[in-house]
Amino acid sequence: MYSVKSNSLNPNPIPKFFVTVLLGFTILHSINHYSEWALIIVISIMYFINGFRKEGIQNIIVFGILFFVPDFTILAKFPLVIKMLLSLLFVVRMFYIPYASGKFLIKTSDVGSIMSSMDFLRIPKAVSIPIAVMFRFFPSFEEERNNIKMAMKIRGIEIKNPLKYLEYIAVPLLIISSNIADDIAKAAETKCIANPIKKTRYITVRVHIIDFIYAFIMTVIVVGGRLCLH
Amino acid sequence: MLTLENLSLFYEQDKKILEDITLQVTEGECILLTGESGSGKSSIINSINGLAFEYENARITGKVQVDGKEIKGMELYQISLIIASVFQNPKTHFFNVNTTLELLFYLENIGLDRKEMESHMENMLKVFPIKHLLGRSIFELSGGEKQILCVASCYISGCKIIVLDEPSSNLDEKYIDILKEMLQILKEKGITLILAEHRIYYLMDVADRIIIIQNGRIKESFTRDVFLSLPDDILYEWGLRSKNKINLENRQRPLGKDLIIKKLICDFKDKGELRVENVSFDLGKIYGITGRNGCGKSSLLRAITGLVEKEKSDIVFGGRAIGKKERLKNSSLVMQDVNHQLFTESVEEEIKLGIKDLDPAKADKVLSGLGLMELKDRHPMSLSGGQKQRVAIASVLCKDSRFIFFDEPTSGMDYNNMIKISNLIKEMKTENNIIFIVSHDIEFLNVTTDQNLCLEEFRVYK
Repeated sequence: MYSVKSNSLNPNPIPKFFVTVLLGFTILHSINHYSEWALIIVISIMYFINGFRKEGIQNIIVFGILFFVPDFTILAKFPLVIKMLLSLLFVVRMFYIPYASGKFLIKTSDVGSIMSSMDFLRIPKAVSIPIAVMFRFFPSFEEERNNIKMAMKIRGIEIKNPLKYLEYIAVPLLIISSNIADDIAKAAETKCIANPIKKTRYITVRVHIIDFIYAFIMTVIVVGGRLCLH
Repeated sequence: MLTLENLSLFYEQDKKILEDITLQVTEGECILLTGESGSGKSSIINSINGLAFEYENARITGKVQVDGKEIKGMELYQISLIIASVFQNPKTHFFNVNTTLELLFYLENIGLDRKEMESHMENMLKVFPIKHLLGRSIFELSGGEKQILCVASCYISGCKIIVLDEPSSNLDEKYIDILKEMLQILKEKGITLILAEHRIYYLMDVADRIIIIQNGRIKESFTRDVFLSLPDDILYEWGLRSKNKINLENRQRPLGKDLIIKKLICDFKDKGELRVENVSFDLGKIYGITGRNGCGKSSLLRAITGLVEKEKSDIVFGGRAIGKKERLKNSSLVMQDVNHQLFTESVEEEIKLGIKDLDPAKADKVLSGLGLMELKDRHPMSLSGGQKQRVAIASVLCKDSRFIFFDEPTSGMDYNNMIKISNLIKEMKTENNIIFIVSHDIEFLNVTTDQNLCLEEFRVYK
């Protein structure tokens, strides 16, 4: 058996995906503040035990800042300009919790385990292959984005004017993204990914106790948080 | 085994890329396709592995047959069951992030069971001792290691034909030697190899036939012995690189008086560090920076330019210490993939970007000097690779930087284009700047640089 890094503290993609969908409900059906913090802390703990310390701390700090953004009832009393700016931030805050768990899913799942999980769930190839390519895309995209940022820095393009910054970064980012996506697709296609026969997977989805713990704790927090509000 | 008969390839309606290519390849033969950049050698490779019509919307006429079966009209996966491919830039040509899974990916897709996969893997490891590369993330591997993995994954697939598109273009000397050994082993195993390459010296013991491609046609075809007897002048005339291995000249440690690196440390955590001490450079000179894949050339370049947040450095320029911010202000960089550094909507805007009060006369002079005057209203991304690179160089020239850096400016370039870039860089040299070139291209460094800094002696491995 050839070792493929498998970490018994890293849930497989299925519970992570389940949790992300579950947390999606919190956007429109709010839960109480303690539960929100509990969710964020659990995600940070998961980052920590998987060796992503920076992401764990960042997660808490970002939510800590967003937490103090006033909600719509208070916002209504502010002058128009402040209202506009803060309501944008409030929308970011609404989406932050599902975003955080989605980021955890992307950061800690590799494309092999995602393919195995989707095979396990019998997701059709027409859906699973594009999703797998998408997941493979993120780490390469990150690498290339850093190169573009470096090029911008050396050309003296600063972030002072965010609109101008976005305009400049958009051109190379789009071109490079399309190249990466093409290359990954070529790599997959020349390795027979579209072969219609029944495929085997070297790593099969193995269920660890952490999968249940993660899914269970998050469900309890969401349900509990929802009930507390009533 | 593989037959190309009157193969022509068109992009869009009538843009002819290949014309009337006829080639018979016998089993176990190694064919080297070479020629100038843009001559069509990669298009031949892409016509064989099917990528030209699947990805580039090309249209072909004529025949491409393997064992009498026509490739045209087959699905890509059907072609890939017979022909394996190695690409020029291994950076993004992996589907999996884990190296072991990448090696097994093809076997998974053809439905082998675990036992068979393991026996294929064991067999491959006996042929290529690359156990140290297993179970790692591809993002941790150097360019050379990635390319080895690519070739190994072609072997493990069991395909009888492997096509390789400029496999050496991002490799250093050591990995080119390893690649050569791997190709020799594949040939001994009876695998048919078809390579498109501009760097040809390392294939002189491997290739059976050398085919020169010019303007989309086969110009000449030689057996290895006849090719080896040709004088270098003829090869240069055809735009080819040298067929002999070239060694780096001017290897002594640079000692100048203007820019002094007293100490600069790039920390690679568990992979050791690059500790550059007491190296100094003169204004008005061009310096090459060389070293193996993964020895820290790009890291050094980033550190000198002041792009690295956390680094320990003690650098002096013109008699006083020069900090990160000041270095960044005085530096310009032409990246290997220039797509990263073109931001605006026209060539003219591009060269003005980030420069306050650029004199229009100067901008015009730079543009016409680089043959970009007619293109000044074009979108930079609509230009060819060479033109894009010239736009990046134009913006560097307008910035008038003290320190100018080039990162692998000639990767994948034929002789004539390499000489053009070399002349361009030499013209950029003034008494007010220092030019640094990070490159593996020894032939290019020898005709361009005044001195070379080899990073091996500064690299500390843990």
